Amino acid sequence: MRGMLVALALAGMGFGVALAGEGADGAHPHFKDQGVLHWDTSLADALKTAAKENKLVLIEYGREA
Amino acid sequence: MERTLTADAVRDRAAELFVGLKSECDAPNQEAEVAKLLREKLPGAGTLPFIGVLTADGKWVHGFSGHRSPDQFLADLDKIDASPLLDASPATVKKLEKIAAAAEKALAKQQWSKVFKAESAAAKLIGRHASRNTVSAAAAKARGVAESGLSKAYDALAGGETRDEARKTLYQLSKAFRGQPEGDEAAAGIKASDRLGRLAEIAEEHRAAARAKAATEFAGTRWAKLFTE
Repeated sequence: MRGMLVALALAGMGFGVALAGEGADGAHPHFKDQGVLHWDTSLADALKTAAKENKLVLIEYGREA
Repeated sequence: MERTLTADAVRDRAAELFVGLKSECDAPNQEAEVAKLLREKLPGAGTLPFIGVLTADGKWVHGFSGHRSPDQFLADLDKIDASPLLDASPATVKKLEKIAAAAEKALAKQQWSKVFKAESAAAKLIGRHASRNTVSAAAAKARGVAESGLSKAYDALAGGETRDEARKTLYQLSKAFRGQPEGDEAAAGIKASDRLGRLAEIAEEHRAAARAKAATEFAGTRWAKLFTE
């Protein structure tokens, strides 16, 4: 129930709540961003990927809907 | 961030700028370092998600909490883009300039492995600088040369021309581009050329099966088509 309320709240704020796979192949663990970003789930991995690709790290700190 | 990141106006810019780090605030194994950083940098933030942007060497660039519309997020991207933190440090600039000079020299001498060595060295350094464009352009030209040679060799083999010239080109490419995908493709091309030669010696009734087998073995390379067309 709590999860559903959070999901509705996030959806209301304009954030998608699709449940995707658990970060497989760099996908976001919880939503489908259509492959816009490669997602890591640890800071060390994300910094490593960013250095390799000459990019920045976008941290999304939140709660699974 | 799903809707914002996938908005037409945002997606390409975001993809060019970022890799993502998803951090779960409720997960038992959630990284304390990330939570601590966001609490420090976004004091008083109360609405999830918290968003932070770091350089690849961990410097804080920008952040916010809560929802951002695509337009708001584009304004964030402008601020991020303008940050001097994204620029290479003076020490890194020196290194990048040296690497770029080496890449240009190698390109002029057609020393492809040195061009890729420069590309790899530049990729290990953090920060923006125009010298990177020089290195990327040199690597792109080197790849163009390889692609041109590979295409020519393919056309020769597909057109039933003598295999010797194609094989020679492929051998040179496999050596010059060793360690690169183009070198692997050239090496596979040599094997494909040899296989074509052996196919010609196979009895007519077994040839179709042998071609099908070869097509499977070369799947994932341009050479597979030599056995199916």
